[in-house]
Amino acid sequence: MRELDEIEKELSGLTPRKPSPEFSERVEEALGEAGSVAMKHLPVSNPPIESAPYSFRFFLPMSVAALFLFSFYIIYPYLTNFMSDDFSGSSIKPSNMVEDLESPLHGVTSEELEVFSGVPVEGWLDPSTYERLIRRTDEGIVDRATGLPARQYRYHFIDETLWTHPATDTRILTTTPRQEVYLIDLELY
Amino acid sequence: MNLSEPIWKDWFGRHGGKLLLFARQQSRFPDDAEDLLQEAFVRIWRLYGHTGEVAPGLVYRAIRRLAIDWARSLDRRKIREEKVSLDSPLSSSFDRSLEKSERVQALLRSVEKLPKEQGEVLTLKIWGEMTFEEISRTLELPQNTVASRYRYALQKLRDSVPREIEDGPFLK
Repeated sequence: MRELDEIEKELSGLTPRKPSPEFSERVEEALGEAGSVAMKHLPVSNPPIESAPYSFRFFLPMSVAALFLFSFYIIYPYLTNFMSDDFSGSSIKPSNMVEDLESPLHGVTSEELEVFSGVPVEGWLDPSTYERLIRRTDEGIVDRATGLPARQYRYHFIDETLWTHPATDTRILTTTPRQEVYLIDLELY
Repeated sequence: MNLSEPIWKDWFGRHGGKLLLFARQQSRFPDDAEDLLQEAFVRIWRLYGHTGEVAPGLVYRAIRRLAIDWARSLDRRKIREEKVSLDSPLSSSFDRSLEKSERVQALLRSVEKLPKEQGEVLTLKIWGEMTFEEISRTLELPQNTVASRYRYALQKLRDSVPREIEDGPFLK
């Protein structure tokens, strides 16, 4: 029995050779998109910042700023001419709006709307939007239209839009559910 | 600056060598071994890779099943396979520094001569570092059968390695 343990120990001491870099590259290519579905975050070590001499640190930004101002002073007249020439006779027009005759807002002016709703029309800030991932669902293997199998993942999001009216301290939050479906191709086994 | 890398690379770095050894044993042809491993790994990773961790047993099992499928369809290449197998001994699948040991060479030659059913159990136990339970699931065999095959394999190795080179350079 002891002899068997010795052989076992001896064999365990042998290390299988790792796959060659060329072979690993082949595997990476074959994996394709599936290879980057799961990622590992690597710790980042920030390189030490070498301190430059004081005179260099002080004069370099000053020089860059002076150069920028000088360039702007030279270019500005040409720039204004170019802008006015290019856009003064612009043919870009807003696309036509189509009136929805069945809308309850049809024929109602902004002033009337403000009175009816009690919500100010003017003075709103640009809305801020935020995308929230709710969950990711693995929906298993599905058939593509081509007949080839694929793994289907469904991502559920909530898109939030916040409207702010500082004058009346009014906030309106709208939420819209959204889904995205990803298919990862599989090969028949 | 690269802040992240695919998890499969780390996984493949840890298990790739052992899997390649098993694939080589199943295919008995080095070039086929790489193809076999690539095919099996890609299929399994596409199914389960999103979880970030895949049990190596799944890939071992996929290698074995694929090897069986390929063997059925590659009968015509049998003669060629046998010839190449002679040209590339099992020791070529291990770190080169160990090839100098005469005893190691003898041991690996004996491993290669083991019946396939014993050799695969030995490979999974020793280099795959799997338990008998995991091996029985991978090979779809009863656990007692797996344990017996392992014991028989070790006994054969003990009997076949010449005693006169038993005191060769000791391994790590």
